[in-house]
Amino acid sequence: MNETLKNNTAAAEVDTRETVLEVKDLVVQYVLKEATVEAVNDISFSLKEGEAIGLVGETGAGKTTTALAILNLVPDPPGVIQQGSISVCGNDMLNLDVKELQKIRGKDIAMIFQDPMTSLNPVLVVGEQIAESVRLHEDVTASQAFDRAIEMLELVGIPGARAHDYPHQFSGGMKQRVVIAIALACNPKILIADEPTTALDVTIQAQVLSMMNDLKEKFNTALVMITHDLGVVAKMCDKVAVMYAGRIIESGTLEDVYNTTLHPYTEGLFNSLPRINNKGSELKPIPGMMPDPTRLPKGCAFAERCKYATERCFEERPASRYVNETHTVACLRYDEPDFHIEGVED
Amino acid sequence: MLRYAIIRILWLIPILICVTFIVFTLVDFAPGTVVDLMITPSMTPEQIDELKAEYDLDKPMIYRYGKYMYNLVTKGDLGTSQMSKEPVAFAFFSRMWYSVSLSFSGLILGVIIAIPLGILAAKVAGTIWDNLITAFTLIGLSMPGFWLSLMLLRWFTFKIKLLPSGYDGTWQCYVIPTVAAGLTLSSIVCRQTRSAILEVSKQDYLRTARAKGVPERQVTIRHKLRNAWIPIITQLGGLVAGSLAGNAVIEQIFTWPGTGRLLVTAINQRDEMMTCGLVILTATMFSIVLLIVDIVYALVDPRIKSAYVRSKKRKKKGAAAA
Repeated sequence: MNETLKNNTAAAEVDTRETVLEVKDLVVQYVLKEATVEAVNDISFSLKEGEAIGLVGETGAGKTTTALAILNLVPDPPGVIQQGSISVCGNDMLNLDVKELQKIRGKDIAMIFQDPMTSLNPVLVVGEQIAESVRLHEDVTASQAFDRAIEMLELVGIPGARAHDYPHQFSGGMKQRVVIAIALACNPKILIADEPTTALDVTIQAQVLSMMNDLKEKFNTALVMITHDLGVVAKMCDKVAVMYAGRIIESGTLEDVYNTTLHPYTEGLFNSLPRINNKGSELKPIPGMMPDPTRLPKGCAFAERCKYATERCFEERPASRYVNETHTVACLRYDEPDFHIEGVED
Repeated sequence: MLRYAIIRILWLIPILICVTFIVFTLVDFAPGTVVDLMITPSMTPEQIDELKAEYDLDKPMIYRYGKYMYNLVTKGDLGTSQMSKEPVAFAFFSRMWYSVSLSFSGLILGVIIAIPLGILAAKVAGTIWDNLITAFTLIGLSMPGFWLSLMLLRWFTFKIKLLPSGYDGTWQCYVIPTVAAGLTLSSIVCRQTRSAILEVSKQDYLRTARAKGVPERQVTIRHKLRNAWIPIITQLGGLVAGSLAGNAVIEQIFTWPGTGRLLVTAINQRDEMMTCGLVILTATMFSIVLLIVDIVYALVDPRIKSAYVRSKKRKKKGAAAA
């Protein structure tokens, strides 16, 4: 019976689940001498236990900064969290002292980093790197922690005997599994995965993703999946938030965003995917570049690249509006009742 | 690993041949000979020639060199002091302890100051505190060891009469030379530590550690310092080898009964045998310390260790490269 409950779509579900992560009005800037980089501009989202959200966007859209801000690990200097609040399992991450933060990091919330090649300490055996997290957060002896590390390695599909090996003795895909094992070592309630498969081969990508999916189901972990790969989101997530220049420009359930795409940028993202069924068709990239984050335009940040942009778009910054209970979009053109985008091509 | 060590030791042979030849040449070029100090005004020219012949000084330098090397290779004889008639090996090993103990006390003091100070400097990099530490290390670096020794002697020995001026067998006599040797060393190592730590401070794995909830202290010790060791050890190894080879200047100032002063005396007396024998022993010790440093690398950094192993097992090459 539990199975059927879980399999209900997110939208239809009557939610009794606890909210584990809440990000509100978050603004993060990198204040440099010459300029201020506006990396994250007023984003909000929340996540219930076991739920998965995909943060999608181009490089530089502020996805990684958002993730680091959730852990309160934005490199400071130059990073400054200017405003907003972040609540992880009821803890106000931005107002806790360092000791409290260290208790939460790794225990309630863990992060899988982008590049497995550089994310592991080259002079410590991998078992030790996993055990370190267990020792910090649980009342265990060093050898119990190491046994747990071996279990974790086996869980991610690496023979336990390799716990005594160093990172350079593993391939890229295996290193990423180790990074995942570190993140999962203390059964975190929230897992942030920052492009966990970008550095991997396509075949390994599929393996790692399905492994993550299994583990997520098994431990009922909430997942923040940061990626620029819309396919990954479709496979892993219940909700999507599309980011552009540090803002969430469209968000909603998978069905909302994938089947009734509203924002011109999201449309552009879908259209720029290569079509495997139609080899003759040309790629349709979105023209232009993301605006310089040190000099964001005063209107809609996407206006310059948007084929629907009107004069008003360059003058006025669009606010997020709800089009149904779950689906939001930030586009001024929807003020016009009969406006619609051309739609995603098949 | 063992093969590597043996090859390194075998390399000593050509090095020592060159070194001994250079030593003989230099002593020969230097004005005066070992007999100059033995000549008394009452000696006749014949007697002087006889004395010279006794030390083969009537024959060309290459003959003496050949004879020395012949004895060294066939009998393992490092020679006998031409002045004191003391065997070189005995003279060296009986004085080695004094030099080694002074080197190590200087080294330990230097490291105790340098590593924490370097870590601190890296932590506060770019601030006024960092500049103060840099200023301190610059003073330590630019101040000659002999000058510092003399200043310390002036204050602590002659003004307040707290510490002895030279070796007298007590622990107090170690204080001034240790400070003099340790301060310069700590300046060098401190700067190296600072830059090595700053170098690893930007690494992604530190972020991984912080995301695990590792306290900042442990991030520094377990994650930063362990990765910063290699350049620090390289520097330390050179300094240890150098100071073991003789703190000649400091030993001279403090009339230290060590090998450094022995060598200086031998050179002043144009004692070819003693000079050459001491240089051979010192060079050997220097090389062995450097070899130990190389082995320590492998213990500190598993990547270097696997590089040694790889050269032995060729088939693993592909796997490690991937």
